[in-house]
Amino acid sequence: MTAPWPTRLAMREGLASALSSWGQSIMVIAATTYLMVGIGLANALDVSALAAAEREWIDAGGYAFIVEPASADGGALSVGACEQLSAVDGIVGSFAVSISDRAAYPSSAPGTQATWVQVSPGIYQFFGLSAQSSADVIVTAGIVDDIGLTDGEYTVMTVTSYDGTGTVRSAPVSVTTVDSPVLGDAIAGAYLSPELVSGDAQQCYVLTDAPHVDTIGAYLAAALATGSTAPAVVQPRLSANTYGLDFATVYGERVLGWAWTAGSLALVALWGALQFGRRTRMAIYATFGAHSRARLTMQLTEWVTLTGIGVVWGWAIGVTLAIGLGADIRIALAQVTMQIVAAWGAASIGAVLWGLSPVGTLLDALKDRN
Amino acid sequence: MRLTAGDLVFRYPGGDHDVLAGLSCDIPSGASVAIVGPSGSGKTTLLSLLGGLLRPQQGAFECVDVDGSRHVPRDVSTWVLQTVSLLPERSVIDNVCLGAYLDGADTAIARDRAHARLSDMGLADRAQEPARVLSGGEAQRVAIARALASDRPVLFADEPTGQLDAVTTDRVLDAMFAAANRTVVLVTHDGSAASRCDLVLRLTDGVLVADAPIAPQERAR
Repeated sequence: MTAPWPTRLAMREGLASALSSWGQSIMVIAATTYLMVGIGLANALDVSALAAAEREWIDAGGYAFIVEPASADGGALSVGACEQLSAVDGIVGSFAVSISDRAAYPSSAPGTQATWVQVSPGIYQFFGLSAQSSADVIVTAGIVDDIGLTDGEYTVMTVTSYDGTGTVRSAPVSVTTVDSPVLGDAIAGAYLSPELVSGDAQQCYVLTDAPHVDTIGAYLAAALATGSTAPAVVQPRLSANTYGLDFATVYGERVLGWAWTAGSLALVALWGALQFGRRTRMAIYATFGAHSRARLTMQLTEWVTLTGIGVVWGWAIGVTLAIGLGADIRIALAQVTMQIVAAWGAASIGAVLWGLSPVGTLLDALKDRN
Repeated sequence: MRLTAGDLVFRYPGGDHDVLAGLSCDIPSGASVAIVGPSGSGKTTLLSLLGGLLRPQQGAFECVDVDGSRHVPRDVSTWVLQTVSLLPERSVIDNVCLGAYLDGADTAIARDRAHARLSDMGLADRAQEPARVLSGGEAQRVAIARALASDRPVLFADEPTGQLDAVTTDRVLDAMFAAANRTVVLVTHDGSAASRCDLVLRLTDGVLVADAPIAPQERAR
């Protein structure tokens, strides 16, 4: 006896429908492509902007603390205790700072005196630099431009008393630059000499990773307690940013993050309108024994064929445009892919539900009694 | 395939009267049956109930093969509908092939069968054209060719010759009745078409008023 609608026949009819109704097919492909590009591109650019802001904030010291001795105590921080913090889980690096009453200038630029600050060698790990010798001077990139030296150059650095009346020493050093705004105002324009290995310090810079910011922030006061028990004063390097500090929350609350919902609803609406216009066609198939499963197979074959093309094009165009407009490559790939997969997945569920909905009384559809 | 209906009652949703009121009939396997009657008498409704396109509010119908097995009518039947029922954007040959595909035929066999049925209908030269360009009569013949391209054992036809001239009507009816053991149920206003059937069901206001076999000599005319 005749078997009711084999799956292969239903798939063949779905594919044939996609190929023969080319006007409608192009409309579905174009709409899918447009929607996928729109939601993917918008999110890639939005998240890239957020990530750039976060990166900028981190580079400026968003995860850094400056620890100073308790003012009431009048004591100093231990250089050794500050240096040892880098061994603590969650701390990227730490270094101690001792601001001297001396000034210094390079032989190539006499008259450009700046404060001579001793820092502990942990500064190399703090900034991710390869360690040099103590015969080194570390300066911020902006200062290097002012004194006409470049990274890796050698010069003779003359250290004097702060009023410039007496030379303390004069020795050749290599120049290492740090292109970071993380240093506080007190030392940002100074010459930093990584020769502080013991004794007391006035500040301790601590850099943490993102997950441990709060834990480390609470830990430092006791870890660097001065005198007998007076807790150290711990201050975040930056107190605020344009997004209100919590980038994770901002990311999670992005309205654009739900763009896939709007995209999927639009796609389902388009598909529903198309299928409503084709209900007579479905009724014709139904008279030949195409039950709900066969009709669903037919519709989904066409759905996958047409929207699949649109999704692939949309993904490729979305990623390309996002990167071309300056989005981070990894973010562009991740955001465009996530949005498109979510939108297409949700829309596919909608297409299935539409395909399972009854076609109404067949005779009504066939005789257009509706 | 034998079709039986017992005490069928049907009313369209929102309707104010029963289109069919307690109708019973028995169509033997392999018989050809004409359902006749004035417009609005319930002919198409009865055909649709027998073919499973509608569900009655009361009563039952069965579709039973010679072994006594019951079948869902739509799984064992093909249709020629009163309204144009082709897939307009598909070619004529594609529309007709659908009938053969229902039997599990592969593409080559389906196309051979479709060409043969189109030749029977005098439309072999229109095979590659899209169905939307056909006239009403041509579309009706393509729908008949599609139904005949299938070997399904039941053929339901609603006014299959309504848009055809006398010569073409004879040609179409010859093809429809050619298959042995196929049960053919057709709704018609055409006396000559009805006269070629084994049995005539005459309806008036949803009631079966006559259930008469056609005399052989009358059929011969």
